[in-house]
Amino acid sequence: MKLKIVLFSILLLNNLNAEFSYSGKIYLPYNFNLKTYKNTELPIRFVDLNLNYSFLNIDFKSNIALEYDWSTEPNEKINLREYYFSYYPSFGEITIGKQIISWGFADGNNPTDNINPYDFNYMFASGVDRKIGVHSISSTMYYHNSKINLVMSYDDFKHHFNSQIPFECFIYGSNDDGNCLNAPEFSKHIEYGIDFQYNMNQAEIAISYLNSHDRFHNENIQTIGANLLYMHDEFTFRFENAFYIANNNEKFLQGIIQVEYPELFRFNATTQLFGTYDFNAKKIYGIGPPLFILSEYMIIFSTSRMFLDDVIELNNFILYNLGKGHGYSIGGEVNYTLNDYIQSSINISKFFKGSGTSSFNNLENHSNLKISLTYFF
Amino acid sequence: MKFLIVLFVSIVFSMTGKELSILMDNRESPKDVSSELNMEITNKKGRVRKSKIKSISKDNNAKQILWFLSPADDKGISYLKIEHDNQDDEIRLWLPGFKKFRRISSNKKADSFMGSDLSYEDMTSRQMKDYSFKIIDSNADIDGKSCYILESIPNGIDSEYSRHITWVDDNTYLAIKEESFNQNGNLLKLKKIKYKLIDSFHLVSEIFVENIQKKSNTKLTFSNLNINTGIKNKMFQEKNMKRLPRK
Repeated sequence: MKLKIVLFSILLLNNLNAEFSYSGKIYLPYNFNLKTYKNTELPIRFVDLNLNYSFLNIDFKSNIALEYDWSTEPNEKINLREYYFSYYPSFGEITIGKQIISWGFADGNNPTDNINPYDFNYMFASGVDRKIGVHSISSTMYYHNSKINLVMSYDDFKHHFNSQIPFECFIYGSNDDGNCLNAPEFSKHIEYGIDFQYNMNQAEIAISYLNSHDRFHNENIQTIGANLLYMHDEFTFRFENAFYIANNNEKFLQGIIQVEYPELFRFNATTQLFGTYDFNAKKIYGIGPPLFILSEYMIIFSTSRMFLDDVIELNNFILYNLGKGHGYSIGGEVNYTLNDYIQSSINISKFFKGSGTSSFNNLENHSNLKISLTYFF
Repeated sequence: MKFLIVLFVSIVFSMTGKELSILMDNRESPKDVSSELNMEITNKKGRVRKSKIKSISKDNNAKQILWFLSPADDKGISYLKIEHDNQDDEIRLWLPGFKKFRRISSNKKADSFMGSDLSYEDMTSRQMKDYSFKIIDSNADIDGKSCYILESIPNGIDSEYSRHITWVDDNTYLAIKEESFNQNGNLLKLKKIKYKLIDSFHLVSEIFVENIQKKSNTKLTFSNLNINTGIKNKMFQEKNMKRLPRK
């Protein structure tokens, strides 16, 4: 049915002489576990294809992925991650269809960005690669220095768990036989939200509200967000806070402070300090970015720099778990651009266990090394 | 007596750096410009990376949107710049891989623009009030054109440069060559600019920037230049960054 919608839209827009464009990538990775030296068997998104049609003030956009998953039968899957229409009236934009919508000011770890559930198989990927599209109507209205986003979605909003890391045990517990308990049934329902943003000279503020369901327990949860962007000289500060009120009046707060530093020795450096403050929450809620469920408090320091005349890009991070169990992780990525279309990468993530038990310490067995080749088109 | 007359004339008619900069600034420019840019970045080993960009600008480049059309991994990225007189400039990026607009600090002027030899500062108009100007040669010559050589020194602003030396065509008051020095006083960049005459306006047709320290260079070639097509102010809004302009 979904494929029919996409094909019908393409056929219709073709007949209207709409302008067609495409882009995407073919991704060939080999990812092996640093403990066992075997394939991690995490799902792979081999092909990522964006098809776009533009006609007058209307765009049709789609993202189709070809994925390979060792844990499913058959292993290959065509994933229609997004297919939606965008209409551009004078006041802004209206979109309708299955889509990924991003809110928030921080990079990557956004407590206020809860419209789409996450696919934990891709939890360490960047940007929209981690998210699952949901059927939504969304509008963005601009008025002078203000911007208002409205969104209403209808879907089951269920996170996809990582096929190799047993998050279910951590979240739902296990039975007497030691088997992880399963997630509750998720039915389709409506969620809605509003985000108001105001731009100033050196700052931006945003407040948001989202009425949604928790992605682990399928219970109602309301999110009130408050974000601030402040630029001072060459420093940029991004603050993002989400106050959650769950169905049974359990309350907790997630927050992140991101500091971007001036370029030093051609290094771009960023620090993110983030965590959760529990008022009276009794369980782990599936809301907020994936890293927030690994610990109460974390700090990440990351740097990036281009070397050898911009041919090699080096990205590094150190992540330290300030919460229970401690532990830390270091990671690095080297991207080598062969030409305008092909990039090769080596990526290593190593987890070091701290004392005691925590979901972060469970990651120790999942340190991995990934070698990949990407063809962009 | 003849010597005295020549001296008198040259004293009366000699121009100050400030006056020259005013003449440069007051040059008539089109209300808006749309163009396609080919950007070629060549590193010190001679390796070339090419980008194709669609650009629209207004108010003498004070408002500008750039959409990246190629290479494939940059396709869809766009850049919006709005310069303000009394407050910081506004710079935003649309990052399709994150589906996010990212406001970046206009004070990070020394950062490279998309890996090129141009910095964000190079992409921003110089405010006259922020510089002191001095003509250091009124009778220079470059490629057969007689020129002024103008020195511009930033005053009380954060800049990656300590000074600029600009060769200014004494007929058209266009900058045709510039040397920019870093804060240590060493030559950092050499820029050469070519123009094309369209409807009585001299429009930039090529910018060549060489980073002397890195031994790399960037050539920007402008094509399909269209002027005064009636681009409205509301075009320079965030929402238009998401949509590549139709052919």
